[in-house]
Amino acid sequence: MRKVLKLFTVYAKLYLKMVIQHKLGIVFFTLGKLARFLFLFFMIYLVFSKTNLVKGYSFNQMIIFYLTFNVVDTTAQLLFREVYRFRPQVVSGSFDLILLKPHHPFLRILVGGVDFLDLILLIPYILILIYFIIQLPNISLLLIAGYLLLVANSLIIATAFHIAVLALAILTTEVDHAIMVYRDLTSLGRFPMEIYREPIRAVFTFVIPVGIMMSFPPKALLNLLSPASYLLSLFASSLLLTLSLKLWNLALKKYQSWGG
Amino acid sequence: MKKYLAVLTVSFKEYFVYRINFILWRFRVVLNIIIPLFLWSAVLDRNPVIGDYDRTQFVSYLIYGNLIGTFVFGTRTFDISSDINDGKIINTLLKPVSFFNCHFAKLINLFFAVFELYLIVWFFKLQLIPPNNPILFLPIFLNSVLISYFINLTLSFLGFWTTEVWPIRFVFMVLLSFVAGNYFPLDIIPQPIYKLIMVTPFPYMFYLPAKILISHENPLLPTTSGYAGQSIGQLILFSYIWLFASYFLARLVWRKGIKSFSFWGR
Repeated sequence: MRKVLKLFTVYAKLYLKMVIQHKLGIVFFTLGKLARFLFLFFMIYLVFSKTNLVKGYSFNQMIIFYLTFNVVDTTAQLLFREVYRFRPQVVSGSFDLILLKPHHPFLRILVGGVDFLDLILLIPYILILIYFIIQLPNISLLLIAGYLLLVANSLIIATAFHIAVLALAILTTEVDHAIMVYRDLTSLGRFPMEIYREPIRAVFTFVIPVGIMMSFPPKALLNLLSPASYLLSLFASSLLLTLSLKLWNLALKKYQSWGG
Repeated sequence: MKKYLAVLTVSFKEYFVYRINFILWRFRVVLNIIIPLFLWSAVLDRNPVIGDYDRTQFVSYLIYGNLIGTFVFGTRTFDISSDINDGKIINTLLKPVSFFNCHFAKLINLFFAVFELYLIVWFFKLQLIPPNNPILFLPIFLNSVLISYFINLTLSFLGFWTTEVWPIRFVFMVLLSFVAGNYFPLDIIPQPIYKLIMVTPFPYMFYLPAKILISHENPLLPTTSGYAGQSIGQLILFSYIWLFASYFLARLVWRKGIKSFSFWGR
């Protein structure tokens, strides 16, 4: 475990050095992400300037949904940025060099590129989220514990999705933006699932569990989640992680090297 | 013209080489309209009128706007900066075609967008108002596509001086997504912000053509009030100013860039 942590730190440091080479990129990407966050925040404000409640949710509650999405999404990007660069490695054959290394390939291709740029934004997101959580009436430690458990659970689902994207990159070279499809799908979770009509709501809650991932944690915080939903959430994450690992193993068996 | 038709055909075939990729790309386009459509529908369930818009007008604005958006956002100019950086642009420069026209011919997204948006309208039984003011709409729509095309070209030509074009384009895309009016009609926001946005090129790529299509009244009549206090003439004038400004800027950056461009081994 110590060796794994040491390697993780080494890869993170190397990635940081690489990022620092692109100073213009740091400024513009941070500005762009900040602008996107503020624009959507403004849109929620605009929505609530026209009505008091949206599908039963108040402004503060809607903001908590939006901020929870941002925290989960940004944490996933922070940890799994390297997934975005995986497919070219398969196509060019440089994935062979990673497989030859005496450690698990995930250490390089899944968490080998910690994106510190996302950390710049993650910290203010968390602080604003805490501010809005404190404003909630009837908040308790139990609800906060449930919320944190489900946020952690969402990160497990995000991990499963990223592993599946890695596997897809090996199984089919046709798909070059599977990760962007994942991003677009999860972006539906910026707002409560109740705003979507059936069958979209059911599909994005149970088939592609965006609702479980992004909507269940804030619902737990608002005391709107039944104990059965907690269990469903934990079951879904375990199932998805297992399936994604099986898919990865299958992909590795199918992988044909370019032969160096 | 025949040459550019050939470019169009080739880029059409390119899309179908990787079919799953193509289907997923179109799926992403559908996903992007779902969020604003349902968010505002949820608001309209409680509040039947937002600004000057009832449900049908609001939904029509989003659907028509997204159809216009597929042209505006559908440029293939993204590849140009990387082509400059790795020297591939030389292949295009050696061909007997205009660089500006050649890339413009690659705009083909509309065929798919019509089908996808029809599917959304049919599936969710959305009510739309029939498109209005077609004669006024067509030149403004053409302006919107050209303004977007020239600005995107200018951004790509930055590749002559830097390899970091993508971060600059990212900021542009974020601004375009929100300030152009993709998520809601711009005239429902507070007046000072609206007026500030109307000075930028963004609303002329999306908001203005979509707004013209859903306006019940004839926008050319002096009594028209549906443009948040601004006359349609003023907005059309701004649209043309941005068209010429973006064209001359793209030409200027191209001329400067191509003079400073050099590459080896080709």
